[in-house]
Amino acid sequence: MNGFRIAAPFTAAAQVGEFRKAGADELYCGFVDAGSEKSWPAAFHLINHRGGGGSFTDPAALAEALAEARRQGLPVYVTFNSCYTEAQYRWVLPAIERVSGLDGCAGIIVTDIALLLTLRRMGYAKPICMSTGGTTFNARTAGFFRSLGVSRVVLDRQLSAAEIAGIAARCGDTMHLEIFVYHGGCMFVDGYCMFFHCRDAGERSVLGPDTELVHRYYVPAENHGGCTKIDEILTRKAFCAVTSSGKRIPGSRFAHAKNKYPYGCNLCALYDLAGRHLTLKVVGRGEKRFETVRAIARLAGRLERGAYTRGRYVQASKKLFSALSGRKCNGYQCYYPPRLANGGT
Amino acid sequence: MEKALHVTDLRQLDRIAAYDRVYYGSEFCQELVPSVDELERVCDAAASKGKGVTLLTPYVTDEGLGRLERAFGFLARRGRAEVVFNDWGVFTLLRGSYPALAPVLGRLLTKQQRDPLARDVIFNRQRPLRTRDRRTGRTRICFPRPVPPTVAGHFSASMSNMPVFQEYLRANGVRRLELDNLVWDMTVRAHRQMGVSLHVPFGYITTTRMCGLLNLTYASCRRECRERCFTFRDEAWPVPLYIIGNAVFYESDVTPASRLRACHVDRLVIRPKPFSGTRPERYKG
Repeated sequence: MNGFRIAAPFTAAAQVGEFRKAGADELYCGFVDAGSEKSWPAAFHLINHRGGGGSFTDPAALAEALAEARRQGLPVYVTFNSCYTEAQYRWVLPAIERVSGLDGCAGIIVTDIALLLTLRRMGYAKPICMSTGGTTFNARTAGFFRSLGVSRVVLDRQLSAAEIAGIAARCGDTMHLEIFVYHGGCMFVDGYCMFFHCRDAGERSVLGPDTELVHRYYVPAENHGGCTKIDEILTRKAFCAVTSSGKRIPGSRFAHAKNKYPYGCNLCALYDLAGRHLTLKVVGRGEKRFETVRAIARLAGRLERGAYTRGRYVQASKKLFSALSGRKCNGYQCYYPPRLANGGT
Repeated sequence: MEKALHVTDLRQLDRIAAYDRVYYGSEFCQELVPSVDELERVCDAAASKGKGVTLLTPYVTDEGLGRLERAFGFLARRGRAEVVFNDWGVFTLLRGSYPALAPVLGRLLTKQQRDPLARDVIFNRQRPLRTRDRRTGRTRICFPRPVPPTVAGHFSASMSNMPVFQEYLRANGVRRLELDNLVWDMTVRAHRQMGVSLHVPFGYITTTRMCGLLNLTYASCRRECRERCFTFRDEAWPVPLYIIGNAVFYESDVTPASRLRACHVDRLVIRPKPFSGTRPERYKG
C-alpha cells in the first residue's frame, strides 16, 4: 500500500487469523484483570479508555492471543491509555511489566506523561506509542514525546488532511504517525475531554413476565458519555443563550441539525495522505471489525495502484462509508469535517 | 493569597485595581490568540497598576504556534510575564526560545476528573430508576451497583500529583500549575516550590475544534463566542453548565475557601460570568 498500515482492535485469539486475512498489519488490545476491576472498574475508563467489554480480562487468554498474533506475524500493542493516580501504580506498573514480557507484545500505548516519565526512569525497553489522548496537534508535540522515549504517536482526531500532512512532513522519519481512519468519532477532543463516561451493561435478572431488574454502575444508561448528553441537550433545545448585551434567548429559537454528529471517518483524507507511511487505526475494541478492515485495505490498495482520480476516490470513499455505517455521508460525519474546520484548512 | 482576574473583555481592565494579576487569552482556541495590540493594552493597564500579567494559551496546530510566537516575542521584549501552556508543543517552544517567560502548567494538562455528573455516582448517592420500554412494554427497574471508594479517591486526585511529574516540571522551569475547583474533595500534592492556582468559579469539562457543532452554526469559526454563550441546567448535573465558545464549563458550588490551605492554593483565578457586563462579580475567596 502507499506506506499505509492498518491497525485493528481485537479481543480474542480466535480473531487474529480473521484480521490477518482481512489485511490488518498489526493489532491492539486492552488488558484489565480482577485486581484492577475490584478497585477501578473498567466501566469508568480508569484503566484504559474503552470501558467494559473492550479488553482482555484473563492473563492466560491474553498470553494465548499474543502468541497467536506472533505466529501469524502481527505485532500487538497493548493499551494502558488512561491517566493514573498514585494509588493505581501498584497495579499499572506490574501489569505493564507482565504484559511486556509476553511473547507477541510489540509495545504499549500510553497517554499519561507521569507514567511515561516513570517508564523512562525504569529503563523500559519496548516501543511506546502515545495515544490520541496525548493531544498531538503539531509536530513540536510529537517531538516532545520523542524526547521522552516515544517512537509512535497517534495524532488527534480533530486535524484536517492538510494539517496531518504538515505534521508528517515536519516529523519526517523521526516519528511514526498513526491516525484514526474509521469509527469512534466524537464532538470533543479525546485527550482533553473530562466528561464522565461509564460503559456497563450491568447484571440482569427477570422479576416477572414483564419486569426485569438491572444492576449497573450508572443507573440512567448502560453506555453513557457526556458528549451524547450534550448533543441531547442541544437537540431538545433545553438551554438558554446569553448574548453579549446580556439578553437571554430561549433555545427554541435555534435550529439543531439532525445527523450532523461526527461518526468518525477519514477515508476521503487518505487521497492526500498517500505516501506518508501512516498507520490507519480502525477504532472499536470489543466490536469485530473484520469487514471494516477488509474494505479499507481494499480501498487503500486500489489507491496505491493509481486506480482513482481524486473525484472517483472520494466517490468510492463515501460509498464505502455508507456501506459500513448504514448511513449516507452528509459531509459532517468525518472526524474533523472540512465544513467545520477553522482557518479553512 | 494572590487574586488574579481572568479578563475576558478588555473593558474589564478598568477593574484590575482590586487584583494582583491579570490573566488574558484563551486556553481553548487558537483563533483567540491575542494580537500584539491587545497584549499591549493588557500589559500597559497591568503595568500602570503594578499588576502581573499571565497569558493563557490553547492547544494549537503548527499554524497556531506561529501566532503564539508573535505574542511570546512581544511579551519577552516587555519583560517578565507568565505563560500558561496547555499544549506540550507550546511548552517546548517556551523552554527552547523564550526563557524570559515563566511557563505555567495549564489545567488542560493536569487531567483532573471534573464532570459534576459523576458526583452522585462515585459517592453512591444514585437512586433506583424505573423505566418502561415503549416498544416492548417491559418495565425495567435499575439499581445502582456499589462503586468502590477507590474510585472516589481517584476522582479527587490527579496525575499532576505524581512526584516524578512535578520533578520534571521543576527541572524544566515550571513553577506553577493551574487547577479547577472540583465539586468534590480534592487531594492535591504539590512540591513546596510549586505554586498552585485555582480557577473559580468555572471549571472546564471538555473542548472541541468543532465549535460550529457546539454553537449550532454548523460552520467554521464565526467568532460566535464573542456574541453569545449557552447556559443550561439538567437533572443529570448538580450545577449549571455553560457552553462558552468551543468549551463546556461547570459552575462549581464549592467555595474555594474551604480548600485553599488543604490544596496548597496560593492564587485564585477569578473569571467573571460570561456577558455579565464589564464588571467582574465580587468573589469571596
